[in-house]
Amino acid sequence: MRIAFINSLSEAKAALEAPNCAEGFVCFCPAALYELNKAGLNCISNADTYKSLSHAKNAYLTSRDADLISDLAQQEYHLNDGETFGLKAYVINFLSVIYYNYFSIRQFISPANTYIIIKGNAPYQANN
Amino acid sequence: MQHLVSDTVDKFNSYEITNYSLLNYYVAKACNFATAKIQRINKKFRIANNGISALKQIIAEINTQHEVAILSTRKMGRSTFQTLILFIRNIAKILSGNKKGKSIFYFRAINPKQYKNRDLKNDAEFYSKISGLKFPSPHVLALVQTYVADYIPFLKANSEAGRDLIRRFNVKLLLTDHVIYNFLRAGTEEVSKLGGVNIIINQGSHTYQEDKLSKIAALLWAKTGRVVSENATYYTPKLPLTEKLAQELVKNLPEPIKLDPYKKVVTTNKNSGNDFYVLYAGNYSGPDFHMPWCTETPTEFLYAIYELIEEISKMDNFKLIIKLKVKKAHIHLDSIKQKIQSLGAENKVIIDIHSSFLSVLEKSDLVICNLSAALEEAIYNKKPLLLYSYRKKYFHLPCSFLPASKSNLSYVYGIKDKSNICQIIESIKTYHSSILSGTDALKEITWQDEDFSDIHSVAKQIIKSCNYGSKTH
Repeated sequence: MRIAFINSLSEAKAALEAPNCAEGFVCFCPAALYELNKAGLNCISNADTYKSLSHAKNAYLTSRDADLISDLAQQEYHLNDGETFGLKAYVINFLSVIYYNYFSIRQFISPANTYIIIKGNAPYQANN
Repeated sequence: MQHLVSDTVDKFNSYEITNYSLLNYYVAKACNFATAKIQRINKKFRIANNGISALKQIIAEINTQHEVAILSTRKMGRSTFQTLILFIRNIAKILSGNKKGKSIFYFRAINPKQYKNRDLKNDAEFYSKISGLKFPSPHVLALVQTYVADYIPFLKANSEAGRDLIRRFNVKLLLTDHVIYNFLRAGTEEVSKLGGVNIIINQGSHTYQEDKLSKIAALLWAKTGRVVSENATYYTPKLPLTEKLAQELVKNLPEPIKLDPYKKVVTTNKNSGNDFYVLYAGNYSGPDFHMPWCTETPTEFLYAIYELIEEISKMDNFKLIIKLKVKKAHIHLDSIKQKIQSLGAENKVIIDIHSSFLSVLEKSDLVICNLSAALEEAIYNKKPLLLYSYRKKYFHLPCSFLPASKSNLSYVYGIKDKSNICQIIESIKTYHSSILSGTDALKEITWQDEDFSDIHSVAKQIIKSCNYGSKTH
């Protein structure tokens, strides 16, 4: 099955230009979901896959990993305490985003699926 | 996954431009020099202000004792031409007398080579050691390796930009509502080193949490530099529970400055008939600033609104005002309008995008919110609160989950089950006047009049701390 991941309204508009690019659409943006639903495409919101348990796992894993990663980076890159604080703020932010995406799409990760993303306003097959 | 993440993570660093020419850099430095000369900055008490209105009262008080120069900082123009245009506007503001008292900005000008200064040997070591950590997927490991290694030169260069600015303009006082950005965090370090004063007020709303998972999430969010910093000389928690959270983050915190952080509305009974106005003023984090458990995603935010519309449209004599933020409204507006139409609730639900928050707050009897500074603004204006989110797991303030009654009068209620919405809102309406008269319930949630710091003494203390005694400086 070809699954397209749609991040924003502009990506939804690009997908509507080529609605046959995928059999299913996973939307991270409610406006994108609204537009694709209106066009009668087969789509779901990531809120249907990223639920309370995903929130909880994300908070736990981010909290655990942010300290480990920042401490390791402090040693390897010789960061002072302030820089380590700055790095940790960044790591917390991007790990939360990584796990948000990971738990949102995890159930679609399968050798039987191919993934479509929107790149340069056109559908593009991403690496599995 | 790389694509999904890169779009959002890149936004986190978008506060800075790193890809500019050497010429642009030299022009920006020259512009900074010229701005300082024209502003005659060295004769003034120099305050770096990172855009926080609540601390304006401190600046105003210092200004009664010394002439101040309020500085802010901004990223450089994308091109030399744009940098020059920005500079000319800045100068025009100074020469026209800057009657509105806006801050004069300086460019964060740092040699662009520093943003590209990768250390490949350290990268290799880091890659090898990070592989030993356990991640739920090899994709996650690969992303962590890439993003941390990419970030190190940015972190160091941007920190240097902050330090450079403080040194160059000999800033005496730095006011900020966060140290998320590296130039700000490094700026506070430099101010401390030079014997100046840092004041940090917490951004948005942050509270200490009792529940185990909520505590992990609240601390996680606060650790991104939104509440307090090790370098704070003074800090201004907006709520007592923010102070408690700050105590968890930094040991040996200084005595807090307690300010009245929000404007007040005059609560007059403008409601026609028996209508009870319920204001929904929630907020959410976009994918680029997703914070699990405490904040809602854009879709969860929308689903929560759907639930409220469904329930409140069943109730007589209730009106729901949905306050959407102008910048974010387009994401939800069409969906909400369609929901209202499908339920035939046009007479019961009002979508408000353009009015000021205070004007809608004024006519509201109850405020519904998940997590937003609007929640604090409401409670400081003595409006009862109902904490509501789509997942119904995180509650930002201590609250009652039971309907209001003679023996259960609280300023803050919470909903754990959608089926209780109508009953709890009805009960708040019934006991509304009793809730409003029981201000004791607010004592643990907000600062009271007797708690507020004397701004005149605070300003004096700050000036003294900066060793800035006379007007001849």
